[in-house]
Amino acid sequence: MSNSGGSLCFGDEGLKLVRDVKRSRDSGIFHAYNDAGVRNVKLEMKYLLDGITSLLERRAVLARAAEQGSAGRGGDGRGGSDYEGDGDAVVDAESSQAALELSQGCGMATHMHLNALRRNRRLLLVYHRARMDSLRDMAWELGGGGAGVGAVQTDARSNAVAANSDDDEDVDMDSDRHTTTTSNNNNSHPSGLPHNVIRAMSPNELSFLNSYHSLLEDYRGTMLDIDLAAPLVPPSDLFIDIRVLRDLGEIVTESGSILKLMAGDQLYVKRTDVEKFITLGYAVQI
Amino acid sequence: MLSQSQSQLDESTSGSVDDVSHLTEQWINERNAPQLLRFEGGAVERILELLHVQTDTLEDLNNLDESNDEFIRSVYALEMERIKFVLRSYFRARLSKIELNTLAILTNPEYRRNLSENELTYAERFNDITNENYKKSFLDEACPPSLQNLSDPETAHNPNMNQAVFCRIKKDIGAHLLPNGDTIDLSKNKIYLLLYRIIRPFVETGEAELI
Repeated sequence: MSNSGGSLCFGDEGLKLVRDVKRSRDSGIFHAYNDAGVRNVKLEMKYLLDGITSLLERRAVLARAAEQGSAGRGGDGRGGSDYEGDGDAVVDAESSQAALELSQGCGMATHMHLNALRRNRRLLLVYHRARMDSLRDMAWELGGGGAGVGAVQTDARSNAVAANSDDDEDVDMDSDRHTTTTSNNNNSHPSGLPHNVIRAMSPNELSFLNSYHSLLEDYRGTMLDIDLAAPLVPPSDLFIDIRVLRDLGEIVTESGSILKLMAGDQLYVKRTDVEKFITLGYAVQI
Repeated sequence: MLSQSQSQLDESTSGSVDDVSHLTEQWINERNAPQLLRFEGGAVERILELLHVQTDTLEDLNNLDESNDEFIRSVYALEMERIKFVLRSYFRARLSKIELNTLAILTNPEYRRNLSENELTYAERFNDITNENYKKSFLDEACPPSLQNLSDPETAHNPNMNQAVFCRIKKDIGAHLLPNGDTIDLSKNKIYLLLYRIIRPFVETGEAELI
């Protein structure tokens, strides 16, 4: 960076945000929403906006002065004018020239402020966009929230959620989960996300994630034959060996039989029946 | 395909094998092209239909319950799994492009035409929810009205038409003039590494495929 000496210029705060989000993307750790940083950038933008307004006013005043000055000079040329002495006219011409230059300077300063404003806006866009990208990636990795839950698997899923809440999760998180499970049968809340991620989100991001989940849910609803959320690994074997890590209870398989999944069980099952639990980490393939 | 006695299956597959290979090709194109290609609605529909038929056949086979059919059953089931995978990957590749270039796709009528109806709804809603986040997070608060509009070209992410792609020529096209004045020989089965925008017209007509 050119301004390593510590003198800040416009856009530095925003650049910090973008650097932070880049580090977060590279390391794969979802950093907490930098509320203070964003606020600083917003303050800077307000300052710039005020600057633009006052610069524009000043420029208008100066331009008017320059115009008057040149009008006075024009009058001088004609001979009969309000100005009495030749000397006065010269001084006036000089000052009007100066006013003109100043007003041009103000114009340049306005441009500079406006560009800084644009840059700040762009940096904020990048920051928010990159965070949304991370959230989207995580949503897909964890099986797109609803994980293409068909009607058959819904109860298996609520079993899974119930099993989950037995763990040492935060109380507030759990209540959050249950409210969404009850309010929405297909559970579009990002219940799969670890709660440190949820805590790192801003309220706006949380609402983005919720609408993203319901968007995915709806889109998947348009094609019931294909489970879009299944992992993008080419299928090699129809049946696989799995070890179940959590008590998942009974699930109904594609063929209609009932499969009991209890922690510690090792089973040879159809891959598509249990794929979802592998994605969510409730079972492993051996 | 297996030579199975089920006439129903044979009928539906003989016409649809082309669809499957066509879709596979389109899937590879879609995964390699920087822009969103035309949606293969017809092929997708016919393949979904085929999958239904095959599921029924599979059930019939299960009901017969002869142990020597076990192998045939698993071959059928695995084939279905593979086709489903191609479809899934195809849709996912398209979705990720829609999410990346939402604005460019929505504003450019040429790209917009390539979306299926569901994808169009998806793109619009996705655009809405991302903009909502921007708006609530900072746009409404800190930007003057002139900067609140997000559809200016500065913010839109466009597909990179200059991306280098590998392609295989499927028909004899003849000599083709490159923008720098060179000519290349586009004859059948030749493989080139080209800028996408050069090969794009041939990919769209199906005279070349990306690999």
